[in-house]
Amino acid sequence: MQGKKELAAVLDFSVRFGERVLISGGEIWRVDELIGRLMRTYEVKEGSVFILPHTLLITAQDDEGETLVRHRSVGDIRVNMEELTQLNRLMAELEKSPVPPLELAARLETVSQKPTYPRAMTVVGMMIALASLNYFIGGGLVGGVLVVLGIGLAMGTQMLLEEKTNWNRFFLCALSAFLAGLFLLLASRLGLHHEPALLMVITSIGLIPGIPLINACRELMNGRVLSGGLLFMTAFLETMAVAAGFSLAVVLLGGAL
Amino acid sequence: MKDLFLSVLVAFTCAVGFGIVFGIKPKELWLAGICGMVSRIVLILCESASLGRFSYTFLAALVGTLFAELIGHLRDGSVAKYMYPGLVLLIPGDVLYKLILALLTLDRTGFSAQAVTLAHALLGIALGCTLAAMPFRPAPRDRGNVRRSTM
Repeated sequence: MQGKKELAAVLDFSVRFGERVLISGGEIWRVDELIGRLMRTYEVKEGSVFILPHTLLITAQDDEGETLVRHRSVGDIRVNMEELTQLNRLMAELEKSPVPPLELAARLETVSQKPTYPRAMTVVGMMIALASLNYFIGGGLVGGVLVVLGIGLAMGTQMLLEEKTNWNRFFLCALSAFLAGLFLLLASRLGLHHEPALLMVITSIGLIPGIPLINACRELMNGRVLSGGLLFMTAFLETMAVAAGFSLAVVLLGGAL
Repeated sequence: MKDLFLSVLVAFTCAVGFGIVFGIKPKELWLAGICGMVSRIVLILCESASLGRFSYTFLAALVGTLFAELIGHLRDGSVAKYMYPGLVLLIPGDVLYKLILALLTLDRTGFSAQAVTLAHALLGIALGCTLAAMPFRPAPRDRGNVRRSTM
């Protein structure tokens, strides 16, 4: 590594790159591995990476022995496999043919941050997926329609409130599950379906944070107990919030399924 | 035959639906769908051969993951975007439902039976994915002078 300016550019790129991998649904060990590879490619001295689910800290020493630190507070996960693929590809390209450090930021900008689909489309995707799951679990045709409407109501409300308000995430999970539960129970009271519990289970699959749970398990299996434990705890609390929302709907409507 | 065809078709739509949720490009969605179809076909074939829950979920996950690894390596190197949507269907939602129902109705016998079935299915998926991915994963590289500080 040449001078302080170049080292700063590599570290700036590393934190921004790592942040984007984490937000698009990448695992913590993957970020650790990718940044490590970048640091080796650019011969960074005394490079160190510290990552927790919402924190990214990178340090390195310049040629004069001065330590440079970069920290990033990472936002919530918005799974985007396409962005993740492009970021992985960018890192592979950089390893193969490194560009000057001062050009790294521009290379990162070439990877689009735009979601592959508008958020409303992801609701449609989840509707298709859950309608299909309903077929396998045996909810019937009417059940399928109710599940589609239920998940649409839940995810639509959650997205709208996320955009318009700054409400607590766990509360939003519980509220969306409560609305879906209420809808499904009322539909069953009207005689449209006789197994509301089954429909609630199918709908809950769309509300549970699946990718964070998988990532948490993979972190734990890799022996990263703290980061895996924190990820697991967050995903578990969100799952509990979803369960609480459905339970509240059941209790409000008489406590019987 | 009609049921089989419908089942495979629904597996395709399910994987495509999850593919949209995970942000896979429109022109690659069909590959995620095919991955779902492949694992479903294996599952149905093994189920009809009277294999147990562990065996058929294991084989379905193994073949589905192999397909995803193959496609991923032939294309852009990303495997997860084909594998995740394709294998979601193997998660035994029906068993999970029966397990929760048994828990809520305090049916201990039913709960134990469903818990064992669920464990078999999840173990089958985990082992199938892991074994299929092994030949494609390079050995960890030397980390050089970079200190690992994740915990």
